[in-house]
Amino acid sequence: MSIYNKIRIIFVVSFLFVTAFFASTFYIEKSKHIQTIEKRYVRTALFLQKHFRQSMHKDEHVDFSEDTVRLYLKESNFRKVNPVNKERVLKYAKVIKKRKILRSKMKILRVKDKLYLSLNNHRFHVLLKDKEQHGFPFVLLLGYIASLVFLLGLYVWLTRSLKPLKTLQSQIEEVAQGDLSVSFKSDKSDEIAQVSNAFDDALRKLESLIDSRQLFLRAIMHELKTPIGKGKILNAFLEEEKLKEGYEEVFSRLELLLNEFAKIEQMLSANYEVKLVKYNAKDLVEQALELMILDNETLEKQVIVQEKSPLILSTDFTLFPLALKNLIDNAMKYASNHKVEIVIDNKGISVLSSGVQFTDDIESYYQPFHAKGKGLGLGLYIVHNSLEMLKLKLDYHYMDEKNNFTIKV
Amino acid sequence: MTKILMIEDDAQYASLLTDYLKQYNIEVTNYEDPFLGLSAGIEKYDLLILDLTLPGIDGLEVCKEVVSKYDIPIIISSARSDLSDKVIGLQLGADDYLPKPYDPQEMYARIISLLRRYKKTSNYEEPSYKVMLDESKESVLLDGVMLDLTPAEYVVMKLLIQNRGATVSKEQILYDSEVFQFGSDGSLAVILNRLRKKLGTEIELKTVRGVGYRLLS
Repeated sequence: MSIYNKIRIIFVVSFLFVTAFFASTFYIEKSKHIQTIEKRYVRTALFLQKHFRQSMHKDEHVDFSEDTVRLYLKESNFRKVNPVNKERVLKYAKVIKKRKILRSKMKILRVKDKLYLSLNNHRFHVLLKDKEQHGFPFVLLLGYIASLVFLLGLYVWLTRSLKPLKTLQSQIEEVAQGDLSVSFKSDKSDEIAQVSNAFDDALRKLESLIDSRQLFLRAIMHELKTPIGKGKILNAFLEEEKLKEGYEEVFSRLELLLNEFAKIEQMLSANYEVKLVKYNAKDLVEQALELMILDNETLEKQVIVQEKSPLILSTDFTLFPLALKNLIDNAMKYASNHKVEIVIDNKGISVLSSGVQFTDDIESYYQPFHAKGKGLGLGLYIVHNSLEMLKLKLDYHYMDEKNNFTIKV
Repeated sequence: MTKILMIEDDAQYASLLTDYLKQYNIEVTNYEDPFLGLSAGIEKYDLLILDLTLPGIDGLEVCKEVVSKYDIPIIISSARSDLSDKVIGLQLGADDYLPKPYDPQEMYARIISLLRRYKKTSNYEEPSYKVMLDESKESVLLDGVMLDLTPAEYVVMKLLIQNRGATVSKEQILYDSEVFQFGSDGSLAVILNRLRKKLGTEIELKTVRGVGYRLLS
């Protein structure tokens, strides 16, 4: 799971906790408030009940408009609702609480944000309007909003501080593609900036190492190619044709080897730009065979090319024959009879050779300097890397005592 | 006589090439020091052969300097194998790039081809060849007689004749023509063998192993 998703989960959980906290606080506060209201309402109801009983003892008509009652209600912040409004209030009111007060029923009613006290028994029904304000607890709501804003701010701040990680990731991907000019330098002082700066330092060292390696290779190439060039000019002065041809063959092979080293170096240092064009598979096979350091006679004896069906494939004319050449070279080296069969069909190009099956997992042979081979252990590594650059797959299977490598198209 | 200025720090290499080109009536004057080469009166020469790895200054800088001041065809010849050198060299205004090691015959072919384009030498005469191209009729003539060629064979011959003496890479042949990209009447090697038969023994189509082909006559 990514760090970003973890942070998102933490903040969603925090949001739920904060909401739950404020919801429960709201609920508790509301209950407390209703209890306080209830006490006041009960006190008023008892007073009215007392007044009713006194009136009953005196055999008087119950009148809640008397001065004593009115004064009490005024001090208690209540006002008697007139009969017209009473009907309307009772019609729309919602009962919040109800209980018995002696022989009367007391109800706390709500219409919108107004509270009412309803008291009735078999002799009277009085409805009082509470003049006190019982509005929404805005302070609590404000606290809740402030907490959410704080959480949101914290989330933005945290994700912003992690943003350089994403930049770092995309820059590292660019480096992996071979672009070493990317700068990781950061003027901040957090841990990500420290990692970026450390990575930049490492990259600059790597760049200078690659530069020096390129300079070294360039110098080697120069030193090796110049004598071949001189040899070629000297060869042009020779008059004996056979001698001339012999030297020419030697120089062209040396040149081929050097060019192959240069191409492999370019490919492995990710400096090679693939150029995809449609080619006839037969041309690619012929080019691969030409790249081999073998004379034509040996090639004719040891290599059989079979075109089962014509194949046109979109590939790079340098890289593909280089891969195929290494594949053929390898097959020839390990074949019990040193013979190789190349088959072209509509699925790809297969290289078959007699011999024992590979003992290790085939993937391990794609690693550089594989120790179990007869050579440097670079053949299949070059093949694998070249085909990977061409987005082609190398398939291996063993059948009829033959190793079969197929470049699938 | 064609006069060529060469800036090459390897004296032995320069001397060998000078001797080789002398047989074609080409006089080469070499300067191992590029600064001396730059002040040698470049306008007196018909062509400049320039190495890239030079003491004190990079060959590409020399190329830039020459292009900005003189109208002279330039062939860069270097053992540096970087593709960027070739691209930069040609972008700077060099006319051709021949990587070392090269066949001296190819260098001669390129010199002739460049001089023909520049028409610099007064004594230069367009040589007549046995194999000629007639682009208007999309045909190839051998001793004036039109050869019966398939479209793929014509494409190969056209490129070889246009670059007579120089190596034409297989990649260039296969890349330049749609005939090959959509399936031709055989592989390039087969086409070359057929062409050799049609051209006869007097015309040499040389295979430059792993690179391409060259028309020598």
